[in-house]
Amino acid sequence: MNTTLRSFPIKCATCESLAQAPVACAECHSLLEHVSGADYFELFGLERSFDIAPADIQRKFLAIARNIHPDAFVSADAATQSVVLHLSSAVNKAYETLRDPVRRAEYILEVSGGKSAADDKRVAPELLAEVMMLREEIEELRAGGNTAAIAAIRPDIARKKDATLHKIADLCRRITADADASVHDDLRLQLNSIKYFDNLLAQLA
Amino acid sequence: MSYSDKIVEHYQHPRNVGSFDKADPNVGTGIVGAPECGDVMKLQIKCDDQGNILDAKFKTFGCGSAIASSSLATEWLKGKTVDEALTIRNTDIVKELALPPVKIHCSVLAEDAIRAAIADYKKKSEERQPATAGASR
Repeated sequence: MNTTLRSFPIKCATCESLAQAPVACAECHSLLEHVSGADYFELFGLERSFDIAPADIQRKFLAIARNIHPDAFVSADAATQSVVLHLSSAVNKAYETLRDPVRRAEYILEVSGGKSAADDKRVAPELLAEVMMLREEIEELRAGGNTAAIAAIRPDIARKKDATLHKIADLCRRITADADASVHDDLRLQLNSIKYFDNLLAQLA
Repeated sequence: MSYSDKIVEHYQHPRNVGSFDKADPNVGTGIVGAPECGDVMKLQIKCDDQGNILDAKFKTFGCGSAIASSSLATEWLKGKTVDEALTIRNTDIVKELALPPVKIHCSVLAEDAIRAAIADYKKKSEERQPATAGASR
């Protein structure tokens, strides 16, 4: 399994043109390298980093999607077509994961060996009680038709989610090969609170 | 995926929805959550001084399976002692409600809530009637 990051451009082995984007040659659509086992960042030819520009991710995605479009492989052998099909599904998943900051952070934690939310459900001790209290409060306000009071809760929750997202970004930057395990655990803890904030915000929309 | 009649029945007519006073020394409160979906569940037991569960209530903000799991849990808790209640397993809830595999975590949440409520009750009753060994503290 080759997981080392290839730097672009890469010379296409088939037509010898210089390919600027990963996975397939833009000129002859041959697959550039064996990419099974590559993580989402490698698939996109990006460094494993939280701080990748959304525009960059989109540009790479569009270039790769164009190069591995099934139409370009109609005359390829069955094995290649199957690889391309598999790749195009992986590339789509990679794009959905990398473009979203929370999913990107989840992915960074996963590939660096951190625990999943199912394995480590911890959140800050006060958070669950606060969420429960707010959900009950919102339910009562809604029953009483008090939309103004409901709207007034929103900015505080949005601010708390924002603060959490900043902590997540900061922890992602600290996840390196020699990072202390506590960085992984802290990142898990912060990521675990996001869905609670999202559900509250959905109630307050 | 379709839900069993029992899930739908508990979801449409949840039993024992509500709250007890958290500060009541005979009330144990457990608040738990599932970070994957953001569901929150509060389960409370009201006991006599011998640790018999007289009543149970819950409040769940989550999916139908989470509501059904906690509704069923409160039904099962009533009339049990707190020690008997600790033997309730999430797999019992899965079996009774025929929960689909993707919803098993909802039953885990209900079991966690039972345990948290009992732990809270036990902590309160120890504080109220300190064991003789700990009386010198």
